[in-house]
Amino acid sequence: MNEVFLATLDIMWKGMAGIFTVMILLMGCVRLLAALTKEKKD
Amino acid sequence: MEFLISGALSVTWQQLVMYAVGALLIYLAIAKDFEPALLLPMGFGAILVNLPLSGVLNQMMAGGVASNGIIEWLFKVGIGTSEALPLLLFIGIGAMIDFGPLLSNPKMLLFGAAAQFGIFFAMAVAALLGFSLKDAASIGIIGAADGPTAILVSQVLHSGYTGAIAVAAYSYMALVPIIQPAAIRLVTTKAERRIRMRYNPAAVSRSARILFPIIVTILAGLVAPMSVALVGFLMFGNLIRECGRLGSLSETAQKELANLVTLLLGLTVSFSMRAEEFVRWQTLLILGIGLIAFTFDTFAGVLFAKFLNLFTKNKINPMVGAAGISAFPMSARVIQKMGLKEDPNNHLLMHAVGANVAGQIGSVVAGGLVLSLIMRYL
Repeated sequence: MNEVFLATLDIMWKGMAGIFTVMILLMGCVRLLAALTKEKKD
Repeated sequence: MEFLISGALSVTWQQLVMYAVGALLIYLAIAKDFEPALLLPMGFGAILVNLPLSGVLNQMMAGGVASNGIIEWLFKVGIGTSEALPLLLFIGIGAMIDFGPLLSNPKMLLFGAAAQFGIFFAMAVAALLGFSLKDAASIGIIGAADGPTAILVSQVLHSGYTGAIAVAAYSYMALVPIIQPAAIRLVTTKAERRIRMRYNPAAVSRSARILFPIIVTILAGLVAPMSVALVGFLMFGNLIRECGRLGSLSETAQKELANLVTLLLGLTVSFSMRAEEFVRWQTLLILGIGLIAFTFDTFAGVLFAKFLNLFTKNKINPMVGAAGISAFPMSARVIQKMGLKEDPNNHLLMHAVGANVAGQIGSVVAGGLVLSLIMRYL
């Protein structure tokens, strides 16, 4: 099979895994931030 | 008197095609309001750079005298050397974004990831159609639905198709209100489109708004170092906005800086719309692949929302997933409109805005990841 195509498949799964990793980590950070920086109600 | 008609006589048919392309872009910008800030300068620039012996390009005049052209210079300095123009534009874009809806509903970040799938799918299609890996990656990035990222990635990879990629990226961004509803209807049922979502936003503290851009930059930088310039400038603009101390700078970034850079970016990109680079059958292929990229972004966002619905109690309207692309705020507005059309009391705007700003982060991270991953193969 076309070598370039196989390379794009490799980039596809690694790329999607990378984006989801960043976003899931960010999601955790946002939840943590929300808990740590909760403003007190008067 | 021959000199008066020598220019007209040396016009090639390819240049005539480019005048038509330029006129079409100007028409779409003015008559149809399709991304006018970019398409109008690009259309006019396409005419400028394709006039025979155009003074906006470097020329070797009779007698061996070199003449420097302004558009070629702008391209070399503003895009070719450092990708300065697209990056500077990101400061303005960052200053315009309110991450509040995302911070109060961080789950939406997942859609910003899922809806980048079109990038990679389009890349694979481009490879199957015979493009080299760096060109396939540059073409795939049209799916980021983010003009500056598309220009930057194609330029870093030295793709010969920057002009076609920029035209496709901006044209399809303008066509989001046509492409997305059609794609969404293909993969959703009426009942799914009518799913209501409650909106109970959690309060977002000022500290969280300030720390968020810094954390995003560090995290994205650690995972995809090549994304630091893209993410960093976007988040720097957002930090200026959120810090609360630089109101006038934030306003300048949102208006004057963004407007000036946009103006120059359109004209500058037109350098890559010279007839010899643009008038070839691959340009049509790139336009076709760009459409595939946007369609599969939408499919992936919707299908991912449906997948999440298998495990969650509070169902997500799958259309919200489609807003995970970077085209902001068009995509969010499209989803709101579609939601209201299915059910006049179904307000999805704030959920869609959350997914849409997540898409802005997702697209720049994807751009950085593509650059990082592709370097291993070049």
